[in-house]
Amino acid sequence: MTIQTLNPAQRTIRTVKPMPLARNRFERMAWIFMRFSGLILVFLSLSHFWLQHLIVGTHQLQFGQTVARWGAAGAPVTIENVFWRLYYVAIIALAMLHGLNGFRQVAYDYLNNRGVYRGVMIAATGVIAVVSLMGLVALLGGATIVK
Amino acid sequence: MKLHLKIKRFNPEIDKKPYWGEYDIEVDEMDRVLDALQEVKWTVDGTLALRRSCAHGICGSDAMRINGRNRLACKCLIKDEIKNGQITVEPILGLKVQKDMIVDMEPFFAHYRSVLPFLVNKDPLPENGRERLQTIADRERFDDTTKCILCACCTTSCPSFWARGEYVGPAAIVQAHRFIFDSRDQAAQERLEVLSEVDGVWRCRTVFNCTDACPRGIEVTKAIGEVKAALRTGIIA
Repeated sequence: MTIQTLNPAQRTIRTVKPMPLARNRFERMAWIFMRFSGLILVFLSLSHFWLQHLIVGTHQLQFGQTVARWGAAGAPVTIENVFWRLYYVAIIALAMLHGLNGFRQVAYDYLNNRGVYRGVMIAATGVIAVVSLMGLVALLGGATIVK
Repeated sequence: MKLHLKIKRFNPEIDKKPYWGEYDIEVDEMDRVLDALQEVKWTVDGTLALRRSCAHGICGSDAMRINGRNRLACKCLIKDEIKNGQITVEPILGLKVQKDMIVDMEPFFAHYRSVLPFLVNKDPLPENGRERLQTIADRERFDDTTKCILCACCTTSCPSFWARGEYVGPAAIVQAHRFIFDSRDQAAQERLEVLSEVDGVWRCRTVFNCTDACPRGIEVTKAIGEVKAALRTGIIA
C-alpha cells in the first residue's frame, strides 16, 4: 500500500462568490462603506476642526471667512471656491450617510417591531434628505447673507 | 476563608421577578466558583438550580456571569474572583431564564445549526480506506476555532445579541469559521450565504466581549473578522 504524503507547508486557497445573494449585497456594501467613510471622515473632520478652531480661531470666526472660501452668491466661482465646496460636500455627504447607516444599525438592533423600525427609518431618511438638500442649495448658490 | 455569595435567583413558577439570594459560606481560596455554588446547593439551599457536567472546563455547561463577566464557574478560582469578600453570580444574558442559572439554550443551538456545523464533502472517500488528507498548514489554519465547546459565553456577552436575539452570534460564526477554512470542506458558499444575511456577521461591531469571555481562549473577534474578509473578497485563504 502506498502512503500519500503532502507538503506540510502547502496552503490551500479557495474562492467563493463574494456577493452570494442579491438581497445581501446591501449589508456588505454598507459595512464596507462604514469602514471607508469613517476613515476619510477622520481626516476631513480633523482638518475642518484644525482650520476653524486653530488656524482661524474660535473667537475670530466670522461669516466673511466662509464667504471668502465658499464664494459669494452671484460672484464668479474661483478654483479655490470649487475646492472648498467639494471639501464640504464630502464632509456633509459622508457624515450624513455614515450617521444614517449607523443609526439604521442601532434602530435595527433595538426596534423589534418592523413597522416601528420602518417608520423611524423613513423619518430619519427624511431629515437627512432635507439637510442634504440645504447643503445642495448652498453648493450651487454660493454664500448669501440673509437680512 | 469566608465568602459572601450573591446569586441571582429566579423561579418563574413562583417568583414575579428575579431577586438576589445572599449566602455566607466557608470556602478554600483555591476552590472554584463552582465549588462555592455546590456548597450552597448541597448544604444551604437545595433549590438552587445550575448546570454542570464535567466540572473541568470541557463540557461547557456551567457558563454564567461571574462578577459581571461571562465565565465558566469551573474555571474560576475563588481567590481570583473575590472582591471585598464577595462574588456575584448571575445567569448568562440574552437567553430566557428557566430557573436560577439555567437558561433556555435552544435559540443558541438554532443559530449553531443554521451554519451547517459539520463537514460537507461530496467526493468519494479515499480508496485506500484512509482519511481525507490535509497539509499541516491547512490544518493549522482553523485550529483556533476547533477549540469551541459551545458554552455560549461569547454569544451571551455580545451587546448585538442582547439587543437582537436573531443575530446569529459569535459562537455560530466560530463554528462556521471552523468549516469554511477547512480545506477538506466544500460548503463554504452555503455557510457564507447564511452569514451574509442581515442577521449574520454584519451585526458584529467588534466589541471584543466575545474574545474576553471565551474560556477556551479563542480569538473570536479575529475569526469573525476573517469571515467578513472572506465575504468581502470571496477569497478563503
